[in-house]
Amino acid sequence: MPMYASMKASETEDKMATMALPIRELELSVCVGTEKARAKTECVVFYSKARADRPSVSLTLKLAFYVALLRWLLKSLVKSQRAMIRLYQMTDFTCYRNEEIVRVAKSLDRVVERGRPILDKLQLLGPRAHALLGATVQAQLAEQLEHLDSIAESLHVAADEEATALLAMAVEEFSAVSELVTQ
Amino acid sequence: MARCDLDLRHPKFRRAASPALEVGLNTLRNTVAKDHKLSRWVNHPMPGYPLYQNKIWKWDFAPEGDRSSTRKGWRLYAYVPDPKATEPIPATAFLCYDKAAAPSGDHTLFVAKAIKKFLTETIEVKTVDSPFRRQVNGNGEIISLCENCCELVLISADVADVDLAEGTHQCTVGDIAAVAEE
Repeated sequence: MPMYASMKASETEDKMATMALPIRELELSVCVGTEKARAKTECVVFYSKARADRPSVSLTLKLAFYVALLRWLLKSLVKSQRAMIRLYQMTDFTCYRNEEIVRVAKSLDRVVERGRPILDKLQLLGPRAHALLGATVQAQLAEQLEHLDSIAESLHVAADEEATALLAMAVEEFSAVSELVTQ
Repeated sequence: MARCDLDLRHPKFRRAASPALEVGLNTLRNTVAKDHKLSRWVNHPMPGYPLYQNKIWKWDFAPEGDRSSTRKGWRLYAYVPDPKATEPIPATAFLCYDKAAAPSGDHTLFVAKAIKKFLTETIEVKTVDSPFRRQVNGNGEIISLCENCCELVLISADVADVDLAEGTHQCTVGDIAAVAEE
C-alpha cells in the first residue's frame, strides 16, 4: 500500500513536471509575443498618423513594413495563445500548490492587461490597415484574451479558500435540488 | 469533440432578465450542443473538493455579432453531475453574470459576491435549531456557512473552533430584522 501510494505520488509529480515545462515555455512565449506586438502596434499607429499628416513614399513604405511585421507577430501570438489555452484546458490544477496557481493566474492577468491595449490601439487604424492586418486575426486575439481572462478568474477563485468554499456550498445546494427535481 | 446538453430551465438558475441575454443563452446552448469545448470553455478547478472536481464548467458568450475588445458579454457557470456521461453530457446552468459588471482587477471578490447573492436567493434553511450549514472539504476541514446571511463563518479542522465561531457569529440578517422591528 505505501509503495503503491508513493508510486502514485511520483507519477503525479512526473506528470506535473512534464506539464509545467511546456506551460512555462508557452507563458514566456505569449508574454514576449504580447510585448513585441504592443511595441509594433505603437509603431503602426505612429506611422499611420504621420502618413495621414504628411503623406510621403518613405512613410508609406515604413507603414507597409510595420503592418506586415505586425500581421506576422499577431498571427504568431494568436497561435501560441491558442496552444496555451488548450494546455490550460487539459491541466489538472488541483495537483498544483496554491502559490503556483496564484502565479499562473497573475501571469495570465498580465497577458490580458497588456493584450487589451493592442486591440484598443488597432481600433485607431483606418480600414485599409485593418484589411491588411486581417479581421480574423484581430477577432481571434479578442476572443482568446477573454478566454485567458476567464481562466485567470477561475484560478484566482480556486486559490481563494473562501470563494472556493462558497462555490462548493452553492454546488451542494444546487445539486441537492437537481436530484429532487430529477426524482 | 463531446456534445453537451445545457439545461437553462432549472428553477434555481439565476440570471438577469434581458432579451439579449436570452438570445445569447440559446445560442450558447446550441453551440455547446456541437462541442462543449467551444465558447471559451473552462473546467473550473476545485482544489480541496474532489467530489466537485471536473463538475463545474464555465463558458463565456457575447451578444451576437459583437467583435469588440471590451469585456462585453456574459459568463455562465454550470454544474455537470457526471462529466464522463454518455453524450450529450448533461450540464445545468446555475449562475450567470454580466462581465461588464465585473471589475478587471479583483476577480475573486466579485465572484464571491455573485455566489453569495446566489446562495441568499436560493438557499433553503432546513434546520430550525441551527442556522449553520457544515461541509467537510478534501483537507478534512469543516466549512461553516450561515444560511441566513450566507456569510462564511469559519474554515477549520477544529470542531471546537467552529462551535465557538458559530456561537459568536453576528448575523447581518438578524441585525437588519431587529432594526426593522424597532
